Amino acid sequence: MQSTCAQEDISPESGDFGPDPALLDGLRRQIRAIERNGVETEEEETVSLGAAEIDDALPWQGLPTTGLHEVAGDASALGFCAALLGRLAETRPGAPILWCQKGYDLCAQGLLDFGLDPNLLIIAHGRNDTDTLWAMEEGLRCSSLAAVVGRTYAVPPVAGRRLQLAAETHKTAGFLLRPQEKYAPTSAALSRWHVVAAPSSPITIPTELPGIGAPQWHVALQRCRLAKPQSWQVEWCDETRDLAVVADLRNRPVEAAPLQAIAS
Amino acid sequence: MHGALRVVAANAPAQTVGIGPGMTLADANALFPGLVVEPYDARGEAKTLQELSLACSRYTPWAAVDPDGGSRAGHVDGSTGIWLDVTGCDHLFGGEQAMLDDLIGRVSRAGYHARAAVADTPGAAWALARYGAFERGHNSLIAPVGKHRVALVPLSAAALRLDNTALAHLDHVGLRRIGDFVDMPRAPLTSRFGETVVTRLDQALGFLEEPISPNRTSIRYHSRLAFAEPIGRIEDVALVLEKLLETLCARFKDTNLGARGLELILYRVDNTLAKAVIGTSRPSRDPLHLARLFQDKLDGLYLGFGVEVAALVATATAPQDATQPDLNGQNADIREDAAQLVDRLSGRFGVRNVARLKPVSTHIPERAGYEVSAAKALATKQKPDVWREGKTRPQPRPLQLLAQPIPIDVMAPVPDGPPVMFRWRKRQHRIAGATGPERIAPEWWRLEGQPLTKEVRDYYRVEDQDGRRFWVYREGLYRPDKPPAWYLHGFFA
Repeated sequence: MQSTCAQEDISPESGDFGPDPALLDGLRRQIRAIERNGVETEEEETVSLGAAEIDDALPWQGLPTTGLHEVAGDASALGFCAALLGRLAETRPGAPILWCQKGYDLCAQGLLDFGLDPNLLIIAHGRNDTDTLWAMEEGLRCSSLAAVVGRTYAVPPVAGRRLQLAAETHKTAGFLLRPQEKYAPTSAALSRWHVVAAPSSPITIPTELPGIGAPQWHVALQRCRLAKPQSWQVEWCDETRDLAVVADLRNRPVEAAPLQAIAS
Repeated sequence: MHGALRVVAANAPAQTVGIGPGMTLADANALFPGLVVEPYDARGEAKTLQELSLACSRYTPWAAVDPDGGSRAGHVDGSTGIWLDVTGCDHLFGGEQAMLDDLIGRVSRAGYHARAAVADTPGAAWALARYGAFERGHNSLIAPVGKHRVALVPLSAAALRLDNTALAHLDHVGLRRIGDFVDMPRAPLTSRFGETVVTRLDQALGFLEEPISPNRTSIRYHSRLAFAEPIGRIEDVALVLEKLLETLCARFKDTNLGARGLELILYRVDNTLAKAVIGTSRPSRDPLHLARLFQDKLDGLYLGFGVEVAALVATATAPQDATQPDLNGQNADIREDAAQLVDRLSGRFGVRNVARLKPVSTHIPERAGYEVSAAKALATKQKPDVWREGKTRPQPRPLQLLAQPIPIDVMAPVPDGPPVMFRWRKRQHRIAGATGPERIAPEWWRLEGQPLTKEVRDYYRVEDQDGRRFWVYREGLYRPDKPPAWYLHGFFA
């Protein structure tokens, strides 16, 4: 037998030296199926979160569209979610989005500013959290929606598990919007985010009034399988409708100084 | 009536004393001094009769309250009745006699005295029930097919539903029984006694059609199941509903119709009904979808001592087009699924609480979008609405807009300028930046009705030291005597 070591290339594609790619893919699929209790899925469809750094932090390189995600926070969480839904709606054109909440405080123009077309929304007003969770489950079971969003306070663990199962089985994205504190987070969600407002970017053009620049948020990934918890400070860009991660160091006066100057 | 209180009805002991309908109350009291008198409740009577006729629809869908019985001016009879068109229904109950016995038995158990008669024409049946010769102990009479004329002949002329003046005329001439004038030529009868006599005679004999308008219009799409033993559990009712839906939807398959409204009627053992009603935004003939819509309603049904008959009726139908993708290439399945979801949500939350947003061209922010019931929006194909975007877009609007603006305490150094601090929910927010003002004035061109805002509003987008962004406004123009009123209207992301 001739020695042909020097001439063979040792790239992974050659069968002798690297693992078989087909075998690896099969193993990965099996692992995913075990994670999801036996539901076999193909490669996940993902939606970008708006910033490449955030996408890279997730094991799916984006947010998977077949599962339940939880976003807690204040009005910034609403904006984060609206931007996400806008991007999701582009992948499934024409499919409506079910929005379940108790109150009547949605402003359609505000949603449009974040890229979500208000014509796609079907809004269901329940009387309490139980109604909202029921409506979310009904929406997840109907597989032709783009996404289902629910704003609730308390989510019992059983309900969270049911929502996650429904989202996976019927391949729909579900989002739970929760208030900032005081309520226990859902353990069944694929990923859990916490978004609160941060002081906005300073305006470089000098004006009489220290105005408000582009909104900024503290986005924290609190829990996700196979990913480390991380947090970023991001800025929302109105024109391109995505996020830009900003550095932590900011040069912004702590005090609100110039207003008094105008008065005097 | 006629200026005196008259007796409308008397029970059997009173009738033995001689008190009958039509007699004045004074005469009745004279005949029997200790008479117990109750005021006549026409509405209650009508309502009871209506319920009873609804319960009688277990025998036939064609049941109606008799408009000629009861007390009407000029025709004091004291008896009230229900008409049932039982053509073709009697074999389901084992024959006419068995059906009548069943009916009389039920009504007696409910506490009423009743007599029933079956004949070929409504007029003959009315006559026989009231004036026919009932055998002792029997409360029902059946005129054999084709023999109604023979049965009518010995009856008194009042059996023809004539009013008192016509009866008096006939009596004056000596025509007291139907047989006396049934063979007379019609023309002199008409000229002498009026047309009513001849019409009623012809109706009773069957020469003229007499329509009975039933409680509900004849329903072609209904299915029905009767049980050997009454069922009392909701789970059994759910099973029965599935069977009924399958039968009904199979009927729809041959036509191009779908159901828009369905009613499930359960006939309880005590002659009352329980109903559950559903509606859909689009016509449907899918038994699974319709069964799911009924699920929530079943829990609220009271089954009483048991249900003997269950019927499913399509109260509204509409043509259902075969699903076709529309020009955008959008699959019609998506719209169908969305419509079914809206139906299920509307069934539980109410039609108004499942909504879509529609734009309104107005400057007032809280009126710029309103909710429209999604079921209505889906039932009609509409072009998608256009929200203001691009160059025509106003200043940015908040994501959350409070339905009622909240008054806040504000410290503003300059009366016309933005605030430096405001207090809300016991927290102080120091303003780090503000953009504005955006002036939104009341819409003076809306003359009809009051405009929502009477005062001018100056809106500011403010941001506090932690980065939270609010939408606040000052109401009203500057007045030197009054401090300005500030409100919080929304939150930005």
